[in-house]
Amino acid sequence: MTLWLVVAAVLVPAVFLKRFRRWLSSMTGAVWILVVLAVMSLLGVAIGQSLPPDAYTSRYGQVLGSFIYRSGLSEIFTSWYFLLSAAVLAASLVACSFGRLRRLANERGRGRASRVGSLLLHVSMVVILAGGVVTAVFGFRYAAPVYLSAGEEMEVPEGGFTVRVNAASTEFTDEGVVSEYFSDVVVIEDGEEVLSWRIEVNRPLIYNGVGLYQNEMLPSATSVREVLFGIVILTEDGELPLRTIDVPFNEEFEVPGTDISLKVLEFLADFTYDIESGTASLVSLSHRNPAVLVRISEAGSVIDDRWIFADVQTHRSDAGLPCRIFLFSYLPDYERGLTRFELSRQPGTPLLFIGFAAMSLGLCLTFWTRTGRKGAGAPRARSKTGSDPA
Amino acid sequence: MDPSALLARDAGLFAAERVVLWIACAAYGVALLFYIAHIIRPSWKISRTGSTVSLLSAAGLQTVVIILRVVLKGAPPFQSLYESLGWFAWMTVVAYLIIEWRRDVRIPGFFVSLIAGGAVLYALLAQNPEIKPLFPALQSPWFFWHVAIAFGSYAIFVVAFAVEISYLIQLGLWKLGAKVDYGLTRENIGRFHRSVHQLVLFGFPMLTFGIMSGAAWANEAWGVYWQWDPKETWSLITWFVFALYLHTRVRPTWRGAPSTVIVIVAFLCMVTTFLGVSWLAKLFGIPSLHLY
Repeated sequence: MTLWLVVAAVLVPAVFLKRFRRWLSSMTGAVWILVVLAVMSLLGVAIGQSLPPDAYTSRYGQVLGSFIYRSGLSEIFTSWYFLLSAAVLAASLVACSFGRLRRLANERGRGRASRVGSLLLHVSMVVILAGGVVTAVFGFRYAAPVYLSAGEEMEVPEGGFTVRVNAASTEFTDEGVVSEYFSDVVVIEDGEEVLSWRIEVNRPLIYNGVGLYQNEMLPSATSVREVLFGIVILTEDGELPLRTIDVPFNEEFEVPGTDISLKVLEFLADFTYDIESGTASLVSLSHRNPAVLVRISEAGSVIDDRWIFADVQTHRSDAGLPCRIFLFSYLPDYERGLTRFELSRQPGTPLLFIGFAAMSLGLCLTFWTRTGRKGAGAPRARSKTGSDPA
Repeated sequence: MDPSALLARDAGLFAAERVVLWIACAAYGVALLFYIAHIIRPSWKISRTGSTVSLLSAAGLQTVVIILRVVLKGAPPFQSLYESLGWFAWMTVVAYLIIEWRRDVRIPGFFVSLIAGGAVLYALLAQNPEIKPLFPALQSPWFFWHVAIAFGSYAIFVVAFAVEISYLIQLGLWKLGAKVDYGLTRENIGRFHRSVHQLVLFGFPMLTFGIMSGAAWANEAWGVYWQWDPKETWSLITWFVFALYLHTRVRPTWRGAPSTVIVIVAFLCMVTTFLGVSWLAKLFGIPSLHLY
């Protein structure tokens, strides 16, 4: 009895494995794997990925929403069933490539180029998938972007070197639209400057396998280049019409035709005020609630230091002031801004590009050569097992 | 040239571009009418010549528009949806005219002139023609290749779809017992239908190059070549379904109805990749990297 069980335990998986292997290398197998992957991808993109749990319950209801979250459908592309399907695809590609290789070895004649192309095409997909696996296992992507201002240094995680930003800024077109973000950086390794590099969008710094990528920059949250004020001068005879003035940051500016002068002392991109300590500070680095602290002087003597806001009128009255001031807009200061880097190491990229090159060659040979076009379209006889080689 | 003269020149070219594009759009309309006339009365010779001539002139005028735009902005003409739609229409018509010339069957012309004319009309009426400077992310040599090749594949798939539908229409008409002669007989319809496969054989590598160039570009700009962004995912779904189609074509039993269904599904996936993703992303507020 035990002997039979052992025999069964060996034979059943062996038979099953043989069938599975045959299925893997068959056209039916290939078709099913493609269908499963397409359906899963469709499901993933239709449901929406990596949203917070509440988003699913509010969109799909309590029951379905929590099912989506718990079953991993909300992170389908890293779920075990998607990865398993990708692994089965890889296994199928390997199995079918072996079959192709065997047939190719026994074949001579006109269709050879397209057969080689087709083999390359299938093998290249395995190489691309392998590249993905290598990056997933050995690579890293820094979870949050890193913000640095000119003069700052950062030790690059897993890079074994330090980066110092010498200068960073943003270039604009004549119309005032951003045309380029750049950061001049120096790589410091073992205390020595080893490389100077200008990082731009689409021009990363890659050193020791770690890449620093820039595709954005935040203007300074605490300084501006120039402020555009609206000003209404109050005289004994009444108000003068509203006019606009450009006031440079931190420079005394005399309003033409008056003895009033303004000086922008401070700028906060996202203003908040602590009543207890009586101090103004930043809530965030984004320009959500910009405010400037303006020193108003008349005939050389300081009258008041006052916060002026872009969106709301100041709460304090204008009593005792020689003018009313409105903050219309400002020129952001990119030179003192924060440059934003994404950090990643993708050791699978060389494999990916080898895969791409092989795939390109394979595609050209299979589809764009004369014999290739004919070969790819030619029907083949069914094999004895009832399943065609894929 | 001083700035005001430059501005005047650009404004003049810009106005000229709009006029030429409107004429091209009208030519698509005329072509569509001729194709309809051809479907109703295939024996009418004028509709045969007229359809091809008007479609050719529309494509010619669009070539002028594309050249004008390249001169005006000094960059590839597919940054905004306005430009992309024009480029897509032009490529579709060029791909179709080659098929029409080789197969001498005009039913797909109806779909092609409808889609190309519709795309141009939509661009003219609903899209902003303004030339905007390229943002930093688009200033990459990959930009041209990625978009040009991806759109090339879209255009080819549209023609493949038009041929597939025409094939089904002809089969349906025969089944109903209708006697019309669109240049297709029971002997040559197989050859005509094979055009779908041949077009996909041409379009599929282009779609693959489009995806690969996008991945290479993303790798350079963001340090990650694949993020499962909705457009990326939809392009991969489209790729899977066309790969499925190519595999079904190899097996005789799957070459009939199954491959027809699959190629139509693949076309729908392609339309979603091209237009639907941006629309869906805006509708549901799904973040996408491709919302240009």
